[in-house]
Amino acid sequence: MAGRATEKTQTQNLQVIKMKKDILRAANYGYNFDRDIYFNRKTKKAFSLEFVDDHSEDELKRRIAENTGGNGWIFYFNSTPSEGVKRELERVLG
Amino acid sequence: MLDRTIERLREEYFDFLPEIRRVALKMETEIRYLTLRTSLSLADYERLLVKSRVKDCESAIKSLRRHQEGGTFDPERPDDYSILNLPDLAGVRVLVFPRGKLDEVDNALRTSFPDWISDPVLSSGNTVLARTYSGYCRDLSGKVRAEYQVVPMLIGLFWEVEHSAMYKPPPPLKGKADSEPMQMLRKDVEDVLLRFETEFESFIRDGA
Repeated sequence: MAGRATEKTQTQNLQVIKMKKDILRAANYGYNFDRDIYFNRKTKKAFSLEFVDDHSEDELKRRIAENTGGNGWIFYFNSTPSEGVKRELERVLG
Repeated sequence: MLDRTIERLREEYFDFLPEIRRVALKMETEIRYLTLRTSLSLADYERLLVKSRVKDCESAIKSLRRHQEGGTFDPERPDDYSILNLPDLAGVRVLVFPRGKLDEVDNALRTSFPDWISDPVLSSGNTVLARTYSGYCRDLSGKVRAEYQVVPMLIGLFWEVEHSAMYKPPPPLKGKADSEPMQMLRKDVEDVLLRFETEFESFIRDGA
């Protein structure tokens, strides 16, 4: 049936998703269910669900460890968010 | 600026509402007809229920927003969004008990909607919870996309109650309904309902 991955592929995908979730949780990232983003208010970083899905665990770890100064929010998205989207998300994330 | 996006989407929704209603009515009628043979031959313990719904305006806008990366509309580009991008403005759910009847119903419907796109809902254990298809009723509308689902009845009824309780909660509960503990509990309920059906079906087989 179209759109249905094999069972083995799905199991592997679920394992990868769980590993990525664990990495983010260990780095004190919360999840905003309304916006589907992982965020950390202390380091002021936010990862979109799409970015997390499409990048490896190692890449995720690198971005988490990246020193961004923490002065303003940094958004890790697949498509660079516009200034308007950033402003809206900054308002939501506080 | 964001208000302009929302206002524009509301206007678009109400412009298309009569068309969405017609698509829902046609889908429901057609699916009732296609499942009539199964309905008339059900055993005493078997059930089949066909329900249609039109996605309400605010749900449609929220759903469209959540389709964007970061769940956010760009306030400076209100014209980039259209509710017609949603796959389920009109929807029909076919609830079946027990699960053994799913294939029969699914096959009966597929013959009339052969080119519709399949996008099944999977459980955490990769079991198909609902067989979902979306497409156009081209003789009625080339713009409004519709969706139909064939779902085990117990799961479908649980979703109905859970959806209205958890996705449309009063303000103090907003944001908590989708919390991880609630998501895990939801998965547990789905697993238990599937196990119940499996056991029930083996009970019927053994008794036959």
